[in-house]
Amino acid sequence: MKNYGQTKECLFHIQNLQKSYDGKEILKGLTIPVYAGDMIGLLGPNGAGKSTMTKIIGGIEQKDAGTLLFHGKDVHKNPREFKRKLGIVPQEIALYEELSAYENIQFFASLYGLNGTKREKKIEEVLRFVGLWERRKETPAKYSGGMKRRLNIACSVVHDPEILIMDEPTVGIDPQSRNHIMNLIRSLQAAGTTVIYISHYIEEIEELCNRVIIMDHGQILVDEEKEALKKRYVEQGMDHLESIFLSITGTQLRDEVE
Amino acid sequence: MRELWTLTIFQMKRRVRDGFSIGYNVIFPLVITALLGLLTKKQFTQTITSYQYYALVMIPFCATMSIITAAYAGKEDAYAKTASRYLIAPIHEKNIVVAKILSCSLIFSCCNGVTFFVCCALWHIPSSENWWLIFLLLCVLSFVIASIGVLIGTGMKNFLVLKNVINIPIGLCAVAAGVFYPFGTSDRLIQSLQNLSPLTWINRFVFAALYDCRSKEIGILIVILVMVGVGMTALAVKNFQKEEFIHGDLPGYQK
Repeated sequence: MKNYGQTKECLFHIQNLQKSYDGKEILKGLTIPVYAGDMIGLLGPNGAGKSTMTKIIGGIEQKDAGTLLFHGKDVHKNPREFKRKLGIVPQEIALYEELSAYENIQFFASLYGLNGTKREKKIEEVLRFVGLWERRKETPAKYSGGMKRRLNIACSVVHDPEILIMDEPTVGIDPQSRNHIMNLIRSLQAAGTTVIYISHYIEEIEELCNRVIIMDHGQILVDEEKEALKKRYVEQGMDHLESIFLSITGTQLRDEVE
Repeated sequence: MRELWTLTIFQMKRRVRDGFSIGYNVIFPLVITALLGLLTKKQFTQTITSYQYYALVMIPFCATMSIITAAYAGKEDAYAKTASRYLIAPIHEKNIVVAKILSCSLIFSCCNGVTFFVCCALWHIPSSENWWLIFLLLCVLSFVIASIGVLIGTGMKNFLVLKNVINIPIGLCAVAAGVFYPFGTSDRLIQSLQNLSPLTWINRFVFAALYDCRSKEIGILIVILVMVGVGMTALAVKNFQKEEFIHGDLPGYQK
């Protein structure tokens, strides 16, 4: 594993993370240092352990062993402080269909302690950011797939997270919406948010991320800056991330459900 | 405290919006009381009319049936797929459970109270000085039902099976308590079986409080129900399972 980014602050550090289900090891001592301002693309076939890792970081699952450090402090000791700074865009559309877009964001913002004028300002800001301000009074039931995805993102960033984990935020949407979401992610990173981007769309990671992590069977196989990784493989005739990914993880089908 | 308040208010709005409570705790008991009251009019005396009888037995029965609404309230975030957002947010898990119980209790209490007062006005139920005890009893009963329902919704496996099965004991308790047809018997075995139904005791004490102006028994019942409600709330908080809260046995979910 390359030792890079030494000049940057290590914002979040996953150290030796382990998790098993029914005796099967899902995460085998995962270690990932996340530096402030990073835009990490996390790739892995089904069953690699990406979702389990995200669930553990979000506090949905318990880890068996390992440490999560945020600004050098153990997250386990003060999970609420960490959660205030963490945003997770779930893979599924996690919205109340019968509430308006505004009400959805309002409620999820209130879970982060936002209230009053500050909350209302943030809601307007974030709705404008995802391009839904004009349609804020409508319910997601009336939205297209792309609009729902944008609202899903808005609900996850309304509290200004320092670190944002996006789990396949562009699944099942048209190219225009995808392009819009990609631009949103670039804007978030430009504003200082550290992003871990999980996707099966390798071209998105190629386009967005400065660092690539490839994991499989609960282990990190590659953790390298994107350009350095591509440069290393170009000599072997592979100039795209997809071919590199397949050469590392193999071409056999993965039918596991994570 | 602010966190609990936020969650409770939000859940209350959802209970009002979904309309189940108003349907099952207000409209249904009023309609069924009017119908059964009309059909059995001649079988009752002037002391207690058929309308009064059915109103007073139907309200606690419908309050008990709200257990399914409360169980759904515990599960609704799994259906909406928003449950993970609660667990990711910086909030205490116990507040998720307590807010659901509180919101259900308050909404069920309001609906049951409205039904009781409408029945009093429509069918001239003698609202003696003990009316407030009946209202209090309905509130406490709502609390117990909400806590059991949320316990099922957030902490128990096989939610879908439980939800369907729970109708059976409630229905049997209702039959034993004379909710559908009043019956008296000198058979000791049947009397013992009747006494096993909590609804039997609730109905007895409600009638005693309103028609005989006896309040002691209903006071004791309220205290017992408060204790059961607190116990069930503690159990629901303790038994909260993230996996069940997020997925449970929802159709299509594979563990």
